[in-house]
Amino acid sequence: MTQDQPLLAVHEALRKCFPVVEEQQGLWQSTLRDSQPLLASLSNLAEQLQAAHNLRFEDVPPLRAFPDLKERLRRKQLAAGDTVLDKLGERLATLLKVRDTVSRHVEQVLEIYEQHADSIGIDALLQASVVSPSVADMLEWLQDIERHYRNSYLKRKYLLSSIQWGDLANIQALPKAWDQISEDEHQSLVQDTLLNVSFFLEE
Amino acid sequence: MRAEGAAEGRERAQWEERGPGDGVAGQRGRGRVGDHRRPRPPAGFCQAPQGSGIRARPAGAGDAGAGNGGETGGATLRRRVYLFSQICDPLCFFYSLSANPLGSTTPRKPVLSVSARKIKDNAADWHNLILKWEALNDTGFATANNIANLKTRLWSEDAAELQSSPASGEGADKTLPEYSKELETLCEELQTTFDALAKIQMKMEKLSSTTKGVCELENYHCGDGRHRPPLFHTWPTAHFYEVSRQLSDMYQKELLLKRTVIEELAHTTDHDLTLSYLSMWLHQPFVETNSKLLLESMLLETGHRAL
Repeated sequence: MTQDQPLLAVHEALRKCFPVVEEQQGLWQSTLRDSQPLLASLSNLAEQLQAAHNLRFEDVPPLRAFPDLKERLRRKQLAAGDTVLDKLGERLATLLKVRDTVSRHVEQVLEIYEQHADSIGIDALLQASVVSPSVADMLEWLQDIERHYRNSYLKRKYLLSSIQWGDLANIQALPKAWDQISEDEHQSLVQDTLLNVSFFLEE
Repeated sequence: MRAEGAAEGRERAQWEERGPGDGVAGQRGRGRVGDHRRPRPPAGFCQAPQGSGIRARPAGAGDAGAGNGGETGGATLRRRVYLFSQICDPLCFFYSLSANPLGSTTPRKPVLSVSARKIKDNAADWHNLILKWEALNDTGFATANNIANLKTRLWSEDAAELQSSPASGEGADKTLPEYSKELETLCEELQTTFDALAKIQMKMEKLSSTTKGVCELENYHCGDGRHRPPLFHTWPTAHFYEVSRQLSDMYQKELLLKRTVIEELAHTTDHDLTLSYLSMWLHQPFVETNSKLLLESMLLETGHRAL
């Protein structure tokens, strides 16, 4: 019994960690979903800016009565763009929080494992049953998940930091680029892992 | 208290005296004074909305325009009417002052003078009108968007038809009536929205000119060199007019631009120009970003917003 104690402690830590991952995954997904309309509206704004840029307002007779219209319109459009960017910044902050929360919990599990690593035999570590994957597998999955959030967050942060109002084509392509990041990832990684451990969690 | 009341009586008399001689402004002034006599809610009713009235507003106030639209605006408006009739009601006013944190800490004047009431009413009207304007702007934008989409669709259909049967004059006759009908309905819709906007803009002009009237009244009253205590906290009365003037100038220019948009939108075939017209309607380039600041500071000064 006392021999099992260290293994049980690691199990315990794993059982606490996976539900957190599940909860954070929900938050992550909903944040990604919420970001899409914002990116669409940025793209739309870029199109408006482009259209106004292509036009020579002084060549449009009805608009001649408004000499400073073009500049005013541009200022307003950019202001609207900044508002959207601020909101996107908030979404990005949420993603960062998810990443950090998951990292923290995974770290805790690994810490507990390392404390007991010497007393858990390698056999016990690798032993899987019908209902429970091996501890080694689960630890590896957790690290995969953590890496996934890290990578994904960085890619999205990079994408948003590349936004420049001088490069309208880039902004117009944002929604696609954002979705592309999701497509390039192993999308069901977290879901699959959670399914694999579902019996273990119910035990 | 009594002296204050007497002064108020005098001022009201001034309003009424000046009225007929002062032409348009005077009549407007009289009309608005009459507004204070609008039906008041029963006395017991005064207490209920007091707390919720002013406090509930800020949440829906600034941001309601875009998404929430009419419902919120309407609710705000009704609450406010109670609030105002209550503030204008001398019997209820004592209560409203004591409940007002500002009033209780710095009771500058136990009862607002008629001019102050007028200015305070105007500030509330500004807020409501701008809220309505924003709601109408959204409605108008949806219609304008539909017009632009319809135009694009018809344009591509036309182009396709021309390509398939270049010489069929009958086909064109068939599509033409349908074409103008749907588009015309939408254009009429947009025109209706524009008319409503124009009405609001006219009311804004009136607010400006009543504020000017109050200034002129004060000039007449105080003459030169006499000390003029501010009506509320710090603003001299002329500053209210200045702010009103700035705001109504912005909306006046914006209305002109909108008229150009509704006149041109359905006739333009250039994609960039169509998109720019839509963008102009949506972003309102002549309503400057500081308009919000102007309005909010006016609301703060008149005590609609708590410090």
